[in-house]
Amino acid sequence: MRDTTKQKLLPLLLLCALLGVLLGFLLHKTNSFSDTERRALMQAPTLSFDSLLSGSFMSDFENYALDQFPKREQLRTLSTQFAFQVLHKSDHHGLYVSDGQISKLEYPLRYPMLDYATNRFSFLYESYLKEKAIVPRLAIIPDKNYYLAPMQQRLAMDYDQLFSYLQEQLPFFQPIDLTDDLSIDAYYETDSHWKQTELLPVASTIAEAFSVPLSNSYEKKALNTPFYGVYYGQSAMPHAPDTIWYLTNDTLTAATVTHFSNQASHEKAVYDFDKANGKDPYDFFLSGATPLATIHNPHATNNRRLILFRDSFGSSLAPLLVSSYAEVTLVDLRYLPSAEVGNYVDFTDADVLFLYSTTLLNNSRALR
Amino acid sequence: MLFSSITFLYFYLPLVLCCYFIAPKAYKNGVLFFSSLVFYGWGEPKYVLLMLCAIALGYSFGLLIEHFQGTAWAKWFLILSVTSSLCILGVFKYADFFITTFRSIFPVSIGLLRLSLPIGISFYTFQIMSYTIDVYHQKVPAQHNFISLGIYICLFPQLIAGPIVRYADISYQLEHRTHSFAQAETGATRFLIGLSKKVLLANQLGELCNQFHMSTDKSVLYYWLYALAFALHLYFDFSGYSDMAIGLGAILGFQFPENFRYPFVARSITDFWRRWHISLGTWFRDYVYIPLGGNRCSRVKWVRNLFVVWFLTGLWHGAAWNFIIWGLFFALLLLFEKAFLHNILSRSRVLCHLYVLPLLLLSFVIFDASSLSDAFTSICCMFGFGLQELLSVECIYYVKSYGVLLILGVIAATPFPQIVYQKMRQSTKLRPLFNLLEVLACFTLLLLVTAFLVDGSFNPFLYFRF
Repeated sequence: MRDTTKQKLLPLLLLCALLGVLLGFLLHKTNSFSDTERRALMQAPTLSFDSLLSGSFMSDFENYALDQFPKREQLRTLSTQFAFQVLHKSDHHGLYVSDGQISKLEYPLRYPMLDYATNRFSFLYESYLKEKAIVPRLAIIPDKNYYLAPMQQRLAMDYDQLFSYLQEQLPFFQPIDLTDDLSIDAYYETDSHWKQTELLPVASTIAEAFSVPLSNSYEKKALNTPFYGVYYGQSAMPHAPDTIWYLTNDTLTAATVTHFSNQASHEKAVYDFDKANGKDPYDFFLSGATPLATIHNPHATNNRRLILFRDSFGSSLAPLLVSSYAEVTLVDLRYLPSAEVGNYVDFTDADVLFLYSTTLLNNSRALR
Repeated sequence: MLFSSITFLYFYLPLVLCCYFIAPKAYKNGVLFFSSLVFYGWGEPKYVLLMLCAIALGYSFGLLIEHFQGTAWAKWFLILSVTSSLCILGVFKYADFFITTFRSIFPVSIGLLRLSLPIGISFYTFQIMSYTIDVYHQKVPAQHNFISLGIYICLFPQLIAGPIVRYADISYQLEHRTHSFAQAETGATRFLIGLSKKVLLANQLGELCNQFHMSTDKSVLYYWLYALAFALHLYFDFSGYSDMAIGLGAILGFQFPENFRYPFVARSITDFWRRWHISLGTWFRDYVYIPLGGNRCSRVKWVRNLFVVWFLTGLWHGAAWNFIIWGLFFALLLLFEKAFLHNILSRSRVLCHLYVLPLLLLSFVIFDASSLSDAFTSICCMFGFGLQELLSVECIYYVKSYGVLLILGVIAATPFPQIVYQKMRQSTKLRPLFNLLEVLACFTLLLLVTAFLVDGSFNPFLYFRF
């Protein structure tokens, strides 16, 4: 290419490229939701004198342009690949790939967050459990970094410190150690959650802690929907989808789940096949996030009840505990304030388990 | 509006370029003036009026000074012009700083104004002052066309982060500039290089600095890693912006002055300030240091002049004591250098760099500090006072994670890539292939920058706060 050709070609091509993208943007169909990031995308802001004067139109437009940019997903993938392949960064926006697992750095250990969570738990103990002489169990679910970080020399919170700190702050809780029952293979490759099919040792440890029998007889089935987990979308890295496998038997097929929400209740099955085709197929387990739900076991051989304070990890574990109890009540403190729990839950003679992931404990402001 | 934003790149820029090049010559300045106000108003809708007032004041005082040239009135109008510019700057940028300082000395209760800082105010007020001072000294005639003066003050490429352009440098171009493909090609390449410096280097290094600030596992070497990362971050951020401004100026037919010349290869602090933010350094030299007597006066006055200029340079960068200390730190270094080090430094290049680089890193730590005590603590920690560890786990992690980026940044901060580029261009046989590769490289950079902009949210320009 001659110098003069380059002098003409470069600016003209650049202008064409900029105009081409502008045209592409205008002709491109607006998306309302990002499936990979699981969030609503910004729509074109409305122009008004007030929005112009306050500058909100401009800031909304900037977000709109970013969210609706043509080939956005592919560009995000390019940026991630450049960060990993060319710049050799250990993580990109806190996410990394290691041994086929996409994971997120959960670092450092945030003591104010732990204090906040233990305050909530102490409040529940003092309000509902102490006078009934109930000894609650506390089981902490390690996030993926617990298994990945030591192998890869990545940053990870000090888990030993976390466990001992919680024990110190919650002396009236009896701890259940789940770390030996899990491994990195127990987690989805593209998601933060654990796989139900790998949780029988966890269920067994919990059942042992409460001295209840546990069924290990299940049929393993798979959902047809490919499961692109939350880290898949956040990382924008190319990765094969996971498959959601689940365990079922006659008890779980017969069991019903009553969901309480907004002063109303409705019944559903343990596994929600409608949700399997929704935005987050992990909601297949107990229909996803809900403030309060009770699983009724019609095949129960005892009258024991379990109150399970939990985050989203509890949804896939709880069905495995159904065979041990007549009723399993799941309380999600992210949606049900601690002070109101007593209005809905009867703790008399119940087993009480607090089952929380390290990720939630280290970011516990969501607990109410 | 940021240059490194999707809105600027893919909405504003193509539309403005189309309107500008389609418009007949007589309307080109009008297009530029209007589009510059839109550019400014996009980020600061409330302050467009302030900008127009500043232009109107500069325009009126320029005409009055010229009209009363040779009389005492001219001097009075100059004083009024400079005072009005300083008042705008004082009220919007420094008022709260002065009030806070006054309140800490005297037990009085004065409320803070809490005005948001108009973007680019330090740049455009300095341009207005230089214009009226030059008109007074008859270095340039006053501009009789309001739009032309308006373009000089608020032309979007250099409006919010410089370089500080002198009226004399572009007065001819305001009315009689020419456009060519060669100029547009140079400008487009320069713009893309600046954009890449900002998005691919500065923003990424900024993330490392953020990680350091949030860290609870700091160590001595982590402080030095941060100091290096911040120095490179600031350099690529600001020089990237200057490259974009110069590039856009070239596309539009303007020739803006260079603002950076590989400052980290400087062999002395004096040399560093000939290479870093050149337009500000020369502004203070020409409008403060030399009028005060420069170095052609008694030793005592020279020292005073030096400290005044560096006090003001520090204050210009921000309304906080750490910026003033940062400026005075350089005054001390320059004084020391001129008095004692000049002969020693001329003996060894290695010694020069060993002397300059650590001092620069220290200076940027002061620059980035949130307060004086924060600056003091950070510097103590860099020398192991108040820290137990030399090397922390987090530091090792981030050295590994940002190692390649830091190496790329260090290389890009030297003239080495430019030298290699020039050498390659000299080969006549490979020239056609090289030209093709250059075009491809430019578009690859644009694609990567777009990918990072779409993917990332960390994007503020540091010099916006000035």
